[in-house]
Amino acid sequence: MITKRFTRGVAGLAVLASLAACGDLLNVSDPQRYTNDDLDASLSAVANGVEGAVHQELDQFVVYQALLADEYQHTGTWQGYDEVDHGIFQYGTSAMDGTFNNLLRARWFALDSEERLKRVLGDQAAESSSYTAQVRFSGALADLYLGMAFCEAPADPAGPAVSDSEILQQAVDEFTTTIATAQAAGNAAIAMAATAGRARANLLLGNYAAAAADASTVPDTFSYSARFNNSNANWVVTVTTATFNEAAGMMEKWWSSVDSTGPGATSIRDPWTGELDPRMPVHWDGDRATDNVTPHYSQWKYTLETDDIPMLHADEMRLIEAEALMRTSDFVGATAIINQLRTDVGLSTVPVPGTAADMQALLLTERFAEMFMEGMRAVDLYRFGITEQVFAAMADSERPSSGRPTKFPMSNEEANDNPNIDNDLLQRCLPRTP
Amino acid sequence: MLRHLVRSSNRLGACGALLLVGALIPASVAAQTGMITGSVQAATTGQPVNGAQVTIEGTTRGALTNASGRFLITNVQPGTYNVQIVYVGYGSQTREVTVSGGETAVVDFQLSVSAVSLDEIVVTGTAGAVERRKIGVSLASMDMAQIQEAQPMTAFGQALEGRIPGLRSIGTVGGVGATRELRIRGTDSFSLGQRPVVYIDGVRVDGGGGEWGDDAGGSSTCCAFSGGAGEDRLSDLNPDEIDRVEVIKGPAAATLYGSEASGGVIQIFTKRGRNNSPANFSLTSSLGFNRHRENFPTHMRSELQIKGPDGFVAWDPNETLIENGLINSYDLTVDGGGEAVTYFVSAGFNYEEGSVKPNDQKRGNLRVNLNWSVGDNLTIGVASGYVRNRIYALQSGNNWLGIYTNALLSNPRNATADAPYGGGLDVTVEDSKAISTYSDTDRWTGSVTMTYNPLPNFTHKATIGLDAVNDQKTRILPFGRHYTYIGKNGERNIGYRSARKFTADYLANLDYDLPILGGLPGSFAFGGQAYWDVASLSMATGKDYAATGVTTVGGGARTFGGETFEEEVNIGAFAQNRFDLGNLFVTAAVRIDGNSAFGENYGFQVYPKADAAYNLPSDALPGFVSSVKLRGAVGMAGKAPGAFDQFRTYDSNTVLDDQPGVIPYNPGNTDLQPENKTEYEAGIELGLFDSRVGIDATFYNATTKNALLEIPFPPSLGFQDEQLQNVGRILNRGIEVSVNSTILDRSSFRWATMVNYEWNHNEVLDLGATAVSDSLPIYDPDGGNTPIGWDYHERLGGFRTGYPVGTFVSRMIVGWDETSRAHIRSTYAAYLGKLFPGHLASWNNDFALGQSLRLNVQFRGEWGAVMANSDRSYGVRQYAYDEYNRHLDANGDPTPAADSVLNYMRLVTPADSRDNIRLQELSLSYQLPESITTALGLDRSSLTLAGYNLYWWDHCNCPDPNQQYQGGADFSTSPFLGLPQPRRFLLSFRTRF
Repeated sequence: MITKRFTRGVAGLAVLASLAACGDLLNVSDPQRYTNDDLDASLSAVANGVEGAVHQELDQFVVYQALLADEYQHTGTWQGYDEVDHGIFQYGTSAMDGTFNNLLRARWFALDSEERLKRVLGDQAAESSSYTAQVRFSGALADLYLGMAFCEAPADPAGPAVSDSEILQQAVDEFTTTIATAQAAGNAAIAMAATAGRARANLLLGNYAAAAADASTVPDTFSYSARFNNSNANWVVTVTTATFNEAAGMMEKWWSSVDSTGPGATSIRDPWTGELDPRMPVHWDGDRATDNVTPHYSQWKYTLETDDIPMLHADEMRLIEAEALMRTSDFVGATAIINQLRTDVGLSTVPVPGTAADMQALLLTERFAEMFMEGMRAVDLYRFGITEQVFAAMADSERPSSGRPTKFPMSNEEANDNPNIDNDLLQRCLPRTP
Repeated sequence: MLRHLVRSSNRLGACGALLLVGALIPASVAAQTGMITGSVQAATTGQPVNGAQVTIEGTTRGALTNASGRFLITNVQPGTYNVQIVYVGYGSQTREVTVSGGETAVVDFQLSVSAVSLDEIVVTGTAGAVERRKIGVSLASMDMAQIQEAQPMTAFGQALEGRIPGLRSIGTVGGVGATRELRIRGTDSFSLGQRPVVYIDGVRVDGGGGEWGDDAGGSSTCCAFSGGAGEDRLSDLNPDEIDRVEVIKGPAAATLYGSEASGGVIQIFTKRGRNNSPANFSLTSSLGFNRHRENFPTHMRSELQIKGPDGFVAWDPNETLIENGLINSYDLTVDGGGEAVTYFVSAGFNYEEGSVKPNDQKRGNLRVNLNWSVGDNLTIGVASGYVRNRIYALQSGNNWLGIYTNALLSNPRNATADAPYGGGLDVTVEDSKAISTYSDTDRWTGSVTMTYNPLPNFTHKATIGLDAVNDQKTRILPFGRHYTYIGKNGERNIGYRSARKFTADYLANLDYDLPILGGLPGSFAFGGQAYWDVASLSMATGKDYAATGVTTVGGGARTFGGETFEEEVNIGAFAQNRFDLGNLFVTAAVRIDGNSAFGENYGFQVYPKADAAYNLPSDALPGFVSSVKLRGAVGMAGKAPGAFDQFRTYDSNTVLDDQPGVIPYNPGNTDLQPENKTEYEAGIELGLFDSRVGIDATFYNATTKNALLEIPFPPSLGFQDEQLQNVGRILNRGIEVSVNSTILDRSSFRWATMVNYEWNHNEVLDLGATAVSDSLPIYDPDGGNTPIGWDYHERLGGFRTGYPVGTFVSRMIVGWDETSRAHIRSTYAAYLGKLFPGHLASWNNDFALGQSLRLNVQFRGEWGAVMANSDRSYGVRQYAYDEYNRHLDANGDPTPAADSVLNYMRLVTPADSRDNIRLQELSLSYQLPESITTALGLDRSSLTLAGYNLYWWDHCNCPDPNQQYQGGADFSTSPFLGLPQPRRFLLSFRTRF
């Protein structure tokens, strides 16, 4: 009797074990995310995803670049912004690391998507696909913005670090490939945007003639923006909140240029004529920052979380042309372009500067105004080598002109996890003022 | 046999009706049988012993004593038997009794206190019920019913505090119903939860704690409803329903629980009725309040009369935020039973307010437990527990909307009549308090257990059960008030979590006597266990309301929705054999698990174990030694990866002008294995001086292998998430000592004391090949800020080999630059301490004064951990804390000292010690005289005045060194503005009738 029951027990155990061996019982699936196969059937979502991934970094990019330059100062209490504003961050502690990482991720996704398009569409068809043009353009944009703000980055996925110049050169090459693909696909919009992107990349590399040549082909109606929506809000708008922990407002040097006669939206005054410049809208209504002392002057270019951030536009192209002329000492030609831009926004014209220094100052103020809160000011301070001069003029003891970083370092994560990059502090670049 | 089973099935069909009838019909005595009755009392005090286990040895018959200490066993075949009494805290006794047909044999017992309980029957961690003397592992048990007698508690998690060496249960966030820190024997995983798995009456249940809002649908959908602390599902339990708790602390004991048990197991047994007992009613009513200590770091606001721009003097949260939070609790239970059926029915209601309001919890519990003996060899047990737990959650923690957060992080120089604290993080306290945040939970936990004994030595036990949790959350940020980036147009969030845990368990146990070596007794058990966990979350948010009056999600101008889902299936089979070699008991077992979360390329996991217990013969012991049990064990248990961690996936991303897009998300890993933890354990259980002193000491050494680490991809390789890989190793080594003694045991005065101490050494042994070389400075032990050497190790993420799992590593201040008048921050990071304490101790005292008064005192201490006190640096940077304000001049303007403090806090987060000693419990219980209770028609009744978390001594610059955001689940060493635990005062009346 016992043997019989025991046998039944063992048989029961065997049944249980057999059940366990049945793979179906242990199979589950994740209904909330896409698999690799799902994406092959939705190439538009892939291409849009790549482009959107670049766009979504622009708001943070703009804030950090503004804090690094003389555009913004931190008015909240968040250490990340505070260190950038005061220029005391180091490699390994830069709050801009997240933006660096996400631009790299976007670039990888562009490369990965390009391979997907070739696999799904076939090599030949992919070369004339708008999707391919879109992802190549997005990858090039990622490199362009990496080169603008960071002193180095890997040129390839998990590859060794190269200088910002090499990254910008890679962007030039990628924009060139993009233009060919877009033209083959009949996508004039991407071809034009890639041309504008190449113009900027060449400008930053010092290839002024090539930059001007591309810029001259871009019509006055052109504009390409990072687009934000209800799901992905423009963070620049959020940090305009006076008492927000991560708040930032206009740098003190601009306060006296703002019309403070009455509350509400106004603008920074044009330094040449004293006119209110509508390209630099600022809001001040007596708000104080968290410390209840510091006046909080908010940028007012972006007021809604869905406001887009211009990335490439015709006015910048005109200023590239003006700069190329300035580099050849054609101050008259350069000033004519600048005056046209000023006239377009209702400002008075300015006379042709008599010296190279004045010409450069005019160009920089116009670039500041035209690309106000677009992440370009820090780029200009760096490439013109005037960061120390600008901060020395401010004579702000909390923001000494000496030893101030002029670009951001690569992220600690990339250096740590990329086997081809040494995460030794001494091996990583962080350019500073003397 | 088959016919018998069919008949049994038919009986099951009529079960419901018969259960009720059976309960009501008095036991009838068959003519051929007799009865055994008697009483059980404490020898010195003469007090009746309630709940003692009475068994007739060699049979499955038995009973429990009632509140008067009496028991009755009916239908006993004539003969001579040994009747044994077992009760925790007293020595077991066995008496011979002869039963004659149609007569009642009487046998009374006088139990002497005993600090050792080797005869206690335990069931957790071993296949089948077994006396403690036979098991070779450390197993803790807690008689919840006894604890409730002395110190009625309204929260189960609180009862676990300081009573079980190795188990750390502390309140880390102060809101009512908020999550707790709960872990056993240190930190054993980098990536998976640390909480032990929890069973109620054999059914695996949701024993988690924490917030789930962020999980469902991404940041655009919602939020962490209450700021990250969330609710603790253990707060659903009603302590008055619980009979006892068994805790096994690691793989050496938890092997049979398989792929979820490496962090230990807490098994909760709810109360049952007694056979042949009339209805026993019990009523407990408690009234009290919660109140924080007034030690928030903002006293300078009132001392300095700091004024805002309009001359308004800022409010000090110590004076205005802290209130008394009412506690009101009622529990009514009835238990009893007839010959065949027993019942336990309980109804409880608990209302509790936090000391910072609005925050309250309304909990209603209902439980019906029935046991039906169908004939001599089949027992069916049904357990059914329902709870409705509605928590008005406190906005706190790392949270813009937190009440405590905004009261403390307010610059008092911004104070106005409309923002009397100073405005906070752009949210006034008044606006924070206007937020309604509810968690409304319906939960049912039930099981059916069938125990079939076809032969006295062969038992089958099958349990099926379900734990179903429906948790609905809501949050309303009303229109017209200002909430930072949400603005003034209001927001409404709703969320629904449905979690189901199904358990099916089968166990067969055969006691045998092998005809070798002159007869080798033993026990062989085998069985299987399957569980299926399904959880879905759905959430919706409405934003931008046009006016007041509409609060539905759909009424918002913008609406968002989100949904998440998880499913995990585990099937396991096990076998165990125990040999009884006289005083030596040797057990070996193995469990095999398959789990849906294991990677596609990985098969089944085998978990082996072995243990031995040796009880030294009493004649070999010196006179003062009553008993010695030596034990040793080795075993393995695991933790399965997350439900879908193995899959490579892409996430949706709304881009451009609301176009669908995707981004890389989880790189996946089809080779994923469970984390395997192997534990070696050795211990001794000593009884000294007539078992008046009990010492239980255990050494354990546990290594987690294949620990899952999130291996970060370089960002240039695309994926946002890290890839989980089984590459890590973690060591937990420790000692647990419990000394339990009744120092004095006289009828006029009794003093029982228990000291628990535990030491845990936690160390990361390996981080795999992708870890990077790193170094931390070593300092001159005699002081100085200059490193004298460097400690080289591997680092991955926040983990370092050679260091504990949770650490605080940071740059620090190493000097002062007179030129710039600023502190100098080190260029390197240094190890400043660990997150979890290495030493924990508690001292419990139970004094009985005469027959009526009882005093209980518990002290608890922890030391060895640090806090990354970001609250201090944050509070100073907000110009809010005393640490800054005390250095202002008479005009309220900054002095160089104030600037220095500000500069310091801008550069680093200070490290503060979490060492503390705490007066955790103090209760005085008075048993009402019989003359009064009798006059009132009551039975034994008592009044208890108790205080909890009363005072603590520390040198932490913080309100409470136990403050820990999210209960420490995320390895954060920061308090992150989690509200400290309040003090708690309770007056309880407990009676039977």
